[in-house]
Amino acid sequence: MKLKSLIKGAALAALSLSSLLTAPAALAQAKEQFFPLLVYRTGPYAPNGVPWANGKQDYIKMINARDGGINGVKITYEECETGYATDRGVECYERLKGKGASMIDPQATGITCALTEKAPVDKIPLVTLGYGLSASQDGGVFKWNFPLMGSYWTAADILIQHIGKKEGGLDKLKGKKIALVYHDSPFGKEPMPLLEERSKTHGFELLKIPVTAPGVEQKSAWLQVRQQRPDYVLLWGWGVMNSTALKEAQATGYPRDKMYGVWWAGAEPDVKDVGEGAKGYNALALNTSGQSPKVIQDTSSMCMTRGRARARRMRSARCSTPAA
Amino acid sequence: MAAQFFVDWSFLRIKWFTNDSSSGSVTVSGLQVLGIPIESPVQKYLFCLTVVAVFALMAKNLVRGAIGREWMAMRDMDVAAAVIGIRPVYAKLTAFAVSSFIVGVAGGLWGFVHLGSWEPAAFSIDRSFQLLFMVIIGGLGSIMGSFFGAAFIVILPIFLNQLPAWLNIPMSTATASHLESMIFGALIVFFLIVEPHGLARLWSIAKEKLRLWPFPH
Repeated sequence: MKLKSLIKGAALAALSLSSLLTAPAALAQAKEQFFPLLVYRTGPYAPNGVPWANGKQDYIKMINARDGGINGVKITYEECETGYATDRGVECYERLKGKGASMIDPQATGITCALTEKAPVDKIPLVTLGYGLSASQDGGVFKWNFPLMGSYWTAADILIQHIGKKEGGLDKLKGKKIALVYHDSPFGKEPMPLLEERSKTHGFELLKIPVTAPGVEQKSAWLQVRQQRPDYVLLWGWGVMNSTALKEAQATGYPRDKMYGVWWAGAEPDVKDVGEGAKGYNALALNTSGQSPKVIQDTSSMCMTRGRARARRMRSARCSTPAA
Repeated sequence: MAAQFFVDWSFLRIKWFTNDSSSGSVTVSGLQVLGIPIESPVQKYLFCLTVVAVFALMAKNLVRGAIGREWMAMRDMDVAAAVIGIRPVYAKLTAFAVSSFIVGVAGGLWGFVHLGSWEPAAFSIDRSFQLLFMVIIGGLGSIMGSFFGAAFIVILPIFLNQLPAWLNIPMSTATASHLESMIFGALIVFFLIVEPHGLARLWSIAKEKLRLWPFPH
C-alpha cells in the first residue's frame, strides 16, 4: 500500500513538476506566469498560515531574483485571504483565475474539495502540497489534481509502520489501542479509511475522537483519551488545535512521547507556547529541516539582504522532529 | 440553535448522509437542469437568478395574500390575532414551514451550485448567525430587506477586501482583511443605530423623499 502510493505520488509529483516547468517554456512569449496565492493570515489558523504564506512568497521572489524566473519567465503573484473558509476560498479562486492562473494551491483541504469540481472545467492544475484529497493520487480519475509530497494516507501509513517498528513488528500491534484525535473537517477525516484498513489487518483498536474546529475547546476529547487510555495518539490537528491538544495532554497526564502528529501538527508555532509540556512529542515532517539545503540558504540570504527574514521563520515553523 | 448542533453531530456519524465520503465532504459533479449543464459561473448565476426570481415572486404574493396577512397579524400581536379568528398554531407552523423551505433551497444552491462541495463546516454556526444578521440588518418583515441584508453581509466584505487593490493602495493581505472586519463591524453598528428597522426602511424613506423631491410639502 505504502510503496504503491508513494510511487504514484512520486510519479504525479514528477508529472506535475514537469508540466509546471515545461508549460512556461512553451509559453515563453508570455514572459510571465501568474500564481494565485490563497493564504490565511487571519483567523484561528493564522499561526501556521502566516509563515506558510510568507515562505511561499519569499520562494517566488527568490526564484525571480536568482534565476530571473523559470526559464526566463517571471512569476507574478497575488494574494487572496481565505481565512481557511471554503466559501471565501471559492470566491478567491473565481477572482484570481481570470488573471490567467497557471495553477492553484488552495492551502486547505476543504477548499480543495470544492475546487476539485471546478478545476477540470477551467483547466487549471490544482496542486496540493501534502494535503488535499488522498484519493486524488489516482490521476486517472482526478485528472487536474496534483498531490505532491504524499497524502494523508501516506502520512497515516508511515505513522502506523513507525509505531509497529517501535513495538517490535506490526504483528505486535494486535490488541493495542490507537486513538486518532482529529480536526473535525475534511482534513481530519482523510486518514480514516487507511487507518480502518490497517486496524483490520493488524488487529489494533482504532478510536476516533473528533475535535470541533477550530479546536480551542478539547476537554471532552481528552476526557475520552483519559477514559480509554489508548497506547498511542495520532494528532491530526491544524493551527491552534495543536498547541491546545498538547496542553490538554499535559493536563490529562497523557505521555507526549506516545503522541504522533501529522506534518501539519509539527510546526514551531504548535509547540513553542506549550514549552516544556511539548517535550517528547513527535511529528512527521515533509521537508528537510535545518539550514543545509541550498534552496533554503538562497531564499534566506536573498531575503535577508533585502531585510526580509521571513524565510527563516517559515523554515523553522515547518521544522519538527522527524518520526519516520 | 439546537438543530445547528444536532445536524452537525448527525452528519459526522450517519454515514449515508454524506454518501459514505471518507472526508465527510459531499460533492455532486455534472450538475444539469433539463439537460442544460450548470458549470460555468455565468450558467450558475443565471440558474440562481431564476430560482431567486421565482421564490421572490412567490414570497411577495404569499405575503400579500390571506396567509401572509395571518402571519403579520400573528407577528404584531398573537392574542389579538387569535381573537379575530386566526388559528395561532396553523399560522405559526405555516410561517415556519414556508421559511424553512426557502432557506432549504438556498442551502442547496449554496452547497452544490456555489461551493460545489460542502462539509458540515460550510454550514457552521457562523453561517446561521450571518443569516440572522441578514434578516435584522435588511429589515424584519420585508422581502426587499432580505436582498439588502444578503448583499450587505455577503458582498460588502468582499468589496471591502478588494478596495485597497482597486485604489492602488499598497496594503498587506492581513491588514486588508483586519480592516475589512473592522469596517464591516462598524457599519453594522452604524446601520442598527441610524435605522433599527433595517435597510429596507431606509430604501422606502429614500423612495418617498425622491418622489416628493425637489418640492417637499
